[in-house]
Amino acid sequence: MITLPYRPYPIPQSNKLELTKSELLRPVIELTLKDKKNAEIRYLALVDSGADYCLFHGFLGEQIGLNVKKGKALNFYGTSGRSQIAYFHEITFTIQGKEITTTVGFSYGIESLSVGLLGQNGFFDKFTIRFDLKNKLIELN
Amino acid sequence: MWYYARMKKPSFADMFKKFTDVWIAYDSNTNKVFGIGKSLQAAINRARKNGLEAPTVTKAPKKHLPWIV
Repeated sequence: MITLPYRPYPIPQSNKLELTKSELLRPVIELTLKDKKNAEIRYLALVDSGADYCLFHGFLGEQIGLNVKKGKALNFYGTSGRSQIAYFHEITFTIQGKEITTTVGFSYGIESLSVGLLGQNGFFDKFTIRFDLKNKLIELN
Repeated sequence: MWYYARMKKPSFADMFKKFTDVWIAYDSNTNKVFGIGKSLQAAINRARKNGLEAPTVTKAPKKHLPWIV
């Protein structure tokens, strides 16, 4: 079992909903990938049950040595409502030392997101996932 | 680096609040930022130049919250 913490994110002052908190917790976890020179890069991704697929930033794909646009293309509609393209590749990353090989879409259309997304296909189909916000923990089995 | 010198050991949260639409490369153990850049490559290169071999990268979003619903 892998146990990971929820991550705190600062709340901007413009958010009038949260008057008492200075940060919100999100199920964002850290992955480790190897770049073109075999050096480590760590990348943050949201464990997102509402995402159909895993989606990472296109520029990260380039950084780890992929020819991003050579991947299998899929049109998808994100939160913006606009059609975007993701290019799917099989990659390997580690979470707390556990190696995971899965298919991830790389998109240049998610630049407004701060982190990648770990969705149903490619992540939730590999683990039983327990969200324990009360104790600020995410468990992957 | 200008931002590093000016902000004196900024944290991830500081950078996240101050900047939008840039890549941040930071040390996830200490939450100290070692590089920012308009491109991911630039942020990583700056972090490595500043001595952080395995940076954690994230993008400071244009829209903070709710950034995905």
